Amino acid sequence: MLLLVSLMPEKWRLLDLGALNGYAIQSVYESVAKSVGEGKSPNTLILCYPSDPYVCIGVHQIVFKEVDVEYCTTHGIPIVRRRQGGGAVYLDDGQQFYHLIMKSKGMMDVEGFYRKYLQPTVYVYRRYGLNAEYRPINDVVVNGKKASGNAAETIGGADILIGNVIMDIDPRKLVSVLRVPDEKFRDKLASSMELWLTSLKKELGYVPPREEVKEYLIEGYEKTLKIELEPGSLTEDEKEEWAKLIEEFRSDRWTYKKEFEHERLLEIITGKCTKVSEDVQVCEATYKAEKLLRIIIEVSKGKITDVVISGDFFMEPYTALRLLEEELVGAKLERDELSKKVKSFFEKAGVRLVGAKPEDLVEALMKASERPHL
Amino acid sequence: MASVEDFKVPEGLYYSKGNMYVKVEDDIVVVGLTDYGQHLAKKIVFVELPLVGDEVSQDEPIGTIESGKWSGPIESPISGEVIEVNDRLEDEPSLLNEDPYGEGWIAKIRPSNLEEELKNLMNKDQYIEFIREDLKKR
Repeated sequence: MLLLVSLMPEKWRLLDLGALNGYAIQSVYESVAKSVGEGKSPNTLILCYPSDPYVCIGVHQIVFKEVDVEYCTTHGIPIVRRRQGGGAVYLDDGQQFYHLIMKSKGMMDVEGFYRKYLQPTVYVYRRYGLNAEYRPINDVVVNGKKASGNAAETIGGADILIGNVIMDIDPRKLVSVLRVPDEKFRDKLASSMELWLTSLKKELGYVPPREEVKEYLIEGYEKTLKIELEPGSLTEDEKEEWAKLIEEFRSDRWTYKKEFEHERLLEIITGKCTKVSEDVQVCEATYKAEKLLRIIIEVSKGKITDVVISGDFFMEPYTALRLLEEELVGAKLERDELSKKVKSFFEKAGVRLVGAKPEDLVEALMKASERPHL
Repeated sequence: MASVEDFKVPEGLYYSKGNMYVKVEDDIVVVGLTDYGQHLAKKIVFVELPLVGDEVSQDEPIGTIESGKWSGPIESPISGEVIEVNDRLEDEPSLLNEDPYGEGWIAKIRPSNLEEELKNLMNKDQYIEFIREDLKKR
């Protein structure tokens, strides 16, 4: 009898909450975490998706530095600050979210956690016949492109995985809500996202029905984790906690908490870096030579994969600028290699630079590479 | 795959199941995250520290760490009053990864029940065994 019991799959609760607003989505897992952590509720899988678009920002971010607040206000897109770190992201009903809440069994082995609990996500893409795999630390890729975004947290004695299946994605919409140095940066970011992010629509040529995606998710969790999901509902305590959290998340005191921290307002922003996927970032820097140099680079694994050079300097002939940019693609972000490339370009091409020296270009490139995470 | 030999477990310290260490220095203790703990968390990018004067309890949260891929609590291995925190971690959280037993210490605590609570902690050999078992479960 005992043996039979141990062979039975563990039962988890399934909460299919349908369409929710951003505040509700970003707080529901926290309201469940406490009861799961205390053993009052079983381990739980929540399925939900945004009823309306919203911008979700990381807990340490400054709203006005990251988000085009005016654009969001005029387009009625709410800004929701989540409890976790990371960058600003636009979310809409092109996503299907899954929140997994499990009783914590000691300190999380972060990579092992993602490796195990992202298997259901991989399963969904494979169910559609796609070449999907887990990529450390927290990505699922299809044909090498990021197809799902994920985060993890331990709170109230529960380990939480928050993630999505990207059903459809429009990079133009993604970048439209971000505060960027200028339109050129915005274009670069969008084309980079186009290249490195994917969706079910992109891979299949159509957006599959949401019910089917959810069905595959449930199937994936049950099969890969060897559990049984039982449809259930939130407890009264969880509902009460959720309502309180939604109220907190809606408050300006929470959304603009960094703005309220006075010294943060005084931060001088001199450049920025935006992560496109695990391996790819777009970075910008300005460098004051005799004239101003502005560099936008796309970087992957320490190498330049694209570069845009602009500024108020002169280059003769001006068309040589594109040639220089092409020359720099593929170069390692190391001073010696960049110096060599830039120097030999100006020597052999007979190109004249006015208002900046070739060394200044190297400095500007190095400055763009000094931003965080590179 | 990591093995137990990959992690530094210095002699003379006490260890908790939350992967924190206790270094007893006369009437105060220094606490921090162990080498194995920082390995589990991966590259730490943010730390929320306790305040000087805070009363903390054994196995209760003393702060938060965030590794970019995960955020979670760090649990105090001992009860008492926080008398000093390592402010450097706010600007250089990577010290927790690079030098967990040295420059990456988290707080100094004046313990309130040291003798009793040390019995709940592990010595070097016990902690090595704990890591070995923990790795098997992963």
